[in-house]
Amino acid sequence: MNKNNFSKSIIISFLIIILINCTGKPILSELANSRINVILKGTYESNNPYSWNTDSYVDDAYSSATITGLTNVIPGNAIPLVDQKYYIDIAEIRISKQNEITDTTILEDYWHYFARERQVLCSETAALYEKQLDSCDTNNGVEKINEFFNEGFSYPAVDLESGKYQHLAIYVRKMITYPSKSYNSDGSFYDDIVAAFDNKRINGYDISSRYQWAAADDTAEDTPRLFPLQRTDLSLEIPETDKNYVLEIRVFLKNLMMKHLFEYTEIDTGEIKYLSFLGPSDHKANHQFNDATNKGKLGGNILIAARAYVPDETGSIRIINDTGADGSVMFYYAVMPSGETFDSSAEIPYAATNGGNNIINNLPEGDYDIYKTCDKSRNADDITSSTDGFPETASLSCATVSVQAGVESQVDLGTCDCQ
Amino acid sequence: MKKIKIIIISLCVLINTSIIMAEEISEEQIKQQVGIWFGPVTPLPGTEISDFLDTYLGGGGFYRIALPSNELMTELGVSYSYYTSDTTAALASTPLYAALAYKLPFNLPVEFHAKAGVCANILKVYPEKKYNTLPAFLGALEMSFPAGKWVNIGLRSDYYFVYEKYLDPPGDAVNYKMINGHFFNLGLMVNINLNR
Repeated sequence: MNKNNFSKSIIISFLIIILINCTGKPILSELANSRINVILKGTYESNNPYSWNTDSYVDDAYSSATITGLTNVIPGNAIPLVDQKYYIDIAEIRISKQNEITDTTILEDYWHYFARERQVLCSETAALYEKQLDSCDTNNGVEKINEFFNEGFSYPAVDLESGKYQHLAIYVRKMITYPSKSYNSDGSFYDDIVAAFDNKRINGYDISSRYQWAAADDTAEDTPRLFPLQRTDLSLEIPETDKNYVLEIRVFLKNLMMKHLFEYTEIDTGEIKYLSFLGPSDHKANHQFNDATNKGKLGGNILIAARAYVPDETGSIRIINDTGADGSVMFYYAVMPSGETFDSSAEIPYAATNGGNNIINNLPEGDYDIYKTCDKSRNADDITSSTDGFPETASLSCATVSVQAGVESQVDLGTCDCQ
Repeated sequence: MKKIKIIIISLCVLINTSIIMAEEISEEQIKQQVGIWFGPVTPLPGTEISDFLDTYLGGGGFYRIALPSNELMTELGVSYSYYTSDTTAALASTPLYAALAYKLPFNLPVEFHAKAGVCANILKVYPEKKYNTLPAFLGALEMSFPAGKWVNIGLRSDYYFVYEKYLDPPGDAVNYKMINGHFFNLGLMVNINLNR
């Protein structure tokens, strides 16, 4: 073959390649269509959460002898729901198949940056000085915070590679609660606390720094508990499927709110003051209001759980013949994948529903251990007569149920009391 | 699908006819070039795909032969472009193209070529790691000047239209949005004259 014919044959062969394989499934359009639906919930329950309690819990610090001995009584009343406001700013959510970041970890390789759109949630868009919280307003933040505290809101995200993920982290920029007040050393009212949110000033207290470090954490190098709010022990299986799937992330905040009190020294004047604010209860470790080391450390009291499922491939469990509340104010039906351990005082379960509802839904096929978890005590405070919103008291596994897609499995709990 | 194949076949026939019907000339007279290019690649701003991908880098190589004539050359090429994003989404694109390059009749020391061609674009999307080959169409402009007898240095800009909307959405997908691809490459180019 001379050079000329060789050139012609290359050209013709090349053009034949072009005709090959012009069928199949869309590729570019995969970029424009996410199969994942990340649902972020602020509840212990995965379905049918309790409605809000009418009042917050109150920390035992308010009944402390030192506080009650002041000239003026610092009000220790619960904060009614109608007076509560919440402002949450989330930078992003990341996920990883690994579970440990070391000094040599390359973060770009470690993390899957799948949900990078900032979300601003707020109870109301009005700020001080007649300003508006613009980002919250344009992001439908009021609507989203209502969804967050009920059935969850859809967090913008792109698809994930299939496989098992262990580390999930929510980067909470700010978490502000209202009301918050400060008091003088004699107990008299000093001022309302003001915080910055969405580049505006609002009444409220940024609790994020308080929940960053846990009591008894020795140094600032210990793992932060809110930025990010994370878990490294997940077994999150992202399915290899062409169907839409849900990544449900739950942050237990609703019905966990407690009125806390801290003593602090004002930097400018050196005066003793008291700070009163609303935040998740100190169910994990009791904080003393005037403990020089731990008073500001509430980290670890905000817990998260995450799971993935394909809605078309789930079943449900109906609980029948249960004995009910078992003496607790609030109780839940919870499930864990069969065989997995569940420490009800330190984690929130795989899925749960409120005790007044007896169906747990959206469960992938498999066997599940059923628990009942109850808020019967305030363990951290060593008070058994009161509650803190966290259902640390659980039944042992009441039963094991097999779930099939599209089927409602029934389980007769019989006697299954929180111990 | 049928329309696409008809268009591609027509273009193939056109190119092949031009090659076969070209005036018989001795092989020594046929001008041939090989070249490489390297530069930024980007989804075309303002198009749907630019919402999901960012600018990154690409490069490629080509072979050009003066068939059917010195003014209308046939060019074959392959390139590789990788588009990232600020999320886990990414796209690897490998277009194999055949194009006719027309030398614009400017009496300047710099040569200008306008090109049009067809492609088989091998695409792999991340993180799903799915791949497919899609038909694509190429429009390009090239400017080059001689740097000695054997080497030309130049700048090329390629536009690729990757056609995907003819495909059916996945069977079980609800409200699935179909998009096409629009990509733009800008590259520094070096090519070597195989004969002179």
